Amino acid sequence: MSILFKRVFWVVCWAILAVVSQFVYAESTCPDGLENTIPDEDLVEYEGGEILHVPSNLVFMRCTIGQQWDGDTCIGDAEPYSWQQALALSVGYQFNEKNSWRLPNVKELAVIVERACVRPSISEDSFPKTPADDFWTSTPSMLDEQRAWSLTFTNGSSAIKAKDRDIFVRLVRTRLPNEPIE
Amino acid sequence: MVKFASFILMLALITSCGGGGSEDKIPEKPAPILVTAGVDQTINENTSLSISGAASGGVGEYAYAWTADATLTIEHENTTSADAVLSVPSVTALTNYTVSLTVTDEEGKTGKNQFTLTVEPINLLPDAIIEVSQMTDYGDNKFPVGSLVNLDASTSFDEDAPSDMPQIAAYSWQQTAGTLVLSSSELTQSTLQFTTPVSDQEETITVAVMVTDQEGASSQATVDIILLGQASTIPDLAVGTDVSVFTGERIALSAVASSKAPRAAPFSVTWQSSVNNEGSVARIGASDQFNTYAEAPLVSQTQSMQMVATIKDSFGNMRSSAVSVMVEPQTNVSMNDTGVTAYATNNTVLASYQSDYAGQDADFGNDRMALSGVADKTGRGAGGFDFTRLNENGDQVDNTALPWRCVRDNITGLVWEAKTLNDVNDIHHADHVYTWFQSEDNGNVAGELNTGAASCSVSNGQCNTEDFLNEVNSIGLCGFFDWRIPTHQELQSIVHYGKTTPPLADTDYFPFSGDSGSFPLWYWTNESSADGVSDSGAFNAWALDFKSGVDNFLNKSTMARVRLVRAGRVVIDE
Repeated sequence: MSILFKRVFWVVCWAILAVVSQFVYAESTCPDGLENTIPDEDLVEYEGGEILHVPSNLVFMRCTIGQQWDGDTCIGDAEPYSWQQALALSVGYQFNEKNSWRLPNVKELAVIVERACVRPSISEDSFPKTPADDFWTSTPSMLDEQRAWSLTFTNGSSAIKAKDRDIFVRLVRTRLPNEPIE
Repeated sequence: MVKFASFILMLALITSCGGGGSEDKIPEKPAPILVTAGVDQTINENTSLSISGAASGGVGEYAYAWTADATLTIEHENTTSADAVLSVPSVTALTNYTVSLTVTDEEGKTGKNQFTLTVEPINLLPDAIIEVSQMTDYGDNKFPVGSLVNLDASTSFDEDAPSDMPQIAAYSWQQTAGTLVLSSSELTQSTLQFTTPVSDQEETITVAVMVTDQEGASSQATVDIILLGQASTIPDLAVGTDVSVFTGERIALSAVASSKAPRAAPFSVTWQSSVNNEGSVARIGASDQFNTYAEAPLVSQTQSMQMVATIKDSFGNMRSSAVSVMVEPQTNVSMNDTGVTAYATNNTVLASYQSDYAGQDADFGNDRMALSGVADKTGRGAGGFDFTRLNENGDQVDNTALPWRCVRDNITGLVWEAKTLNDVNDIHHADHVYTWFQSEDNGNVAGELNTGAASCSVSNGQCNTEDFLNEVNSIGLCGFFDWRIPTHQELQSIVHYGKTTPPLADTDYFPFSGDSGSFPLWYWTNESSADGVSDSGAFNAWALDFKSGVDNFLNKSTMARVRLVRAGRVVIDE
C-alpha cells in the first residue's frame, strides 16, 4: 500500500515538473507526425552569430535586430521597426566584420521557416529567442501600395502588412564562394 | 730679591703639578690636534669647490676625513692629504651647509674643525613653447571659420627645475593682437582652446603664453594664428561606410555636405566610379544627386571599386571622399528571385529608384541582375526567372507557338507540370481541383479522398492529390514518372511577386485559365500545417494563392489546384 502510494507520488511530481518546464521555456510546439521541413544538416553555424542555410546559400543573423549574440544565445530585446526604418537600418549595416547585410526578400526569409513547428516556427537552436511574431521582408506589395510582405514566425505564414507598422527585422547576406559550407 | 722670589714660586708650582700627575699614574690625556678646515664662504649652486685644511700638534702622518650634508658630494681620493673637491646641488633659496674636517694622527689623537658653506641659487629662465594642432587641408597655423583651435604649452620646460616638482609652476595665456577670440577660454591651463569666429575677412591674431618656473622666473612665447574667412573654408563631406555587393546589384550612395561657413550653401555634388582591374565602371544612377545608387558592373573576379563624391560649395571650394564597394561575381544561385523590380515608397510603387527607400527587393538578386544586363540565363523568363519549355517527350521547345507540357526552371532545377486550358477532360486541365490526401507524412491526418464532386479527370473519380499524382506517374508526363506534390518552398519559388495583376506567375510559361479572376487560386503543397492541430492530428495543409501571393493552411477537404513537380537542383549543361 505505502509502496504504491510512493510510486504515484513520484509520477505526479514528474508530471508537474514536465508541465512547469514547458511553460517556463516557452519552446516551440512541434506536433507528432510532422517531419522537419529543414533537416539539421541544412543549417551550419558560423562564428559570431551567423547561420548558413546551405540549400539557399544564404547566411542569416542568428539574432533578431535589437538582440545581441553573446557567443551562446541571443540576449536583449528584439526591436520593432517600420518598413522604411527596417530598410534604412539594413543599408551599410556592419555585423561580424561583414558589410553585405540586407533585408531578406519574401522568398529568402521563408527558407528558415520550420513548418513542423509553431510559436515560433523556426529552429530555436539556430535562431534562439526568435519572437513568434511578424518580420519584415524587402519585398513591397505590387497589388497594395500601402503594404509590404511580412512573414510571421508564429506559424511561418507570409502576408502583406501596412508599411507603417513596427515589426521585427532579421538580416541576411549571400554566402561568398570562399566561405565554408560545413 | 723680588724677581728671585717669583722665580722660586713658579718653579714650585710647575714641579708640584708635574710631579703630582706622574706620581698618581693617571694616563695623560692626549693633547688635541689643532685643525683648520677653512673659512666660511658662499658659492653658486651646481658648482664645485676645492677644499683643503691643515693640522698640527699630532704625531706622525695624519688621516683626513671630510663630512657634510648628504646632498653635498665630496671627492676625497687620498686621505693622507686634506685636499678634496666638494660639489653642491641646485637649490631654490640660499642654503647653509656645515662642512667638517676630522684629522687623526698615528697615535689615534683626533682634531676637528668646520666651516659654513652658503649655497646661492642661480636661476635659469624657463623656456616657453607653444605647439599648434594643425588642421589637415589648411596651411600652417591657418584655421577656417567655426573650428576649434588647440594650443599646447605643456612642452615648455625649465632646465634647472628641482627634480621633485613640475618644471613649470604656472601658465598664463593672453591674446596680444587681433579681434578677441579668447573670451570664453580657460587661460591658466597648459593648453588653450578657442573657436574661430565666422568672418568674411581673413585676419592674423597673436596669442602669447607666459610660463613661470618654480623659482618665480617667467618667459613668454607667442604664435600667430591666421583666421581664414568664410570663402576659404573647405566644406565637409560624409559618404557612409564601405559595402559589398554582387555584380549587377544596386547599392545606395549617400553624400552629406556641410560647412561651418553659413554662406557656403548651396552645395553641388558629382559622383564618379573608379575603373576596376577588368576595365569596367559602376553605372551611377544620377551622378549629380546627393542620394543615388551605383549599379555594380559585370565582373569575373572580386573587384574593389571606389565611388567618389566631389562636392563644391558656393565659393567654389571642393572636397572629395570615396566609399569602397567590393563587387563580387554572381555566385552559384539556387533560389529564384521574387520578380519585383519596381520601387516602393510608403504609399506608391514606381519604376524609378527611390533613394529614401534604399535596400529594397528591387536592388538585389536575379531580377536586378537581369535588368542590369549581367544575368547569365540558360532559357528565358520574366526578370530573373529562367525557364525552358519541354514538350511531351521532354524535349526543349522554347517557342510559345508550340504546345508545351512541362516547364524546366533552370535556376532551381525543378521541372513543373504545365497546366492545359483547352480540353476540360485533360487530366492536366488548369481548373481541376482536388482535396488534400496523403497516405504518409500527413501529420496523422491523411486527408479527404473526395469521392463526391466530379471536379477532375482522375479515372477512378477520386479527386484528391494522391490519386491525381498516382495517375500522372502511371501515365507519365514529358517522359517523367517521378512526379510529386511540391513543398511550400518549391511552390513559392515560381510565385512572381512583381506582377501588378494576378495571377502571380510568369504566364508565358505557366498559363492560368481566364475565368478565375474573382476567386483565390489556391495550389496545394505536400506539407501539413503544424498550426491549429487537434489531439488527433493536423487537419490542415499549406497552400499558396497565385491570385494574391499569400499562403495559408487550408482544411484538407478544401478543393484546390495542384501543380506537380519533379527533380530539383541539377547542373544544366547547354
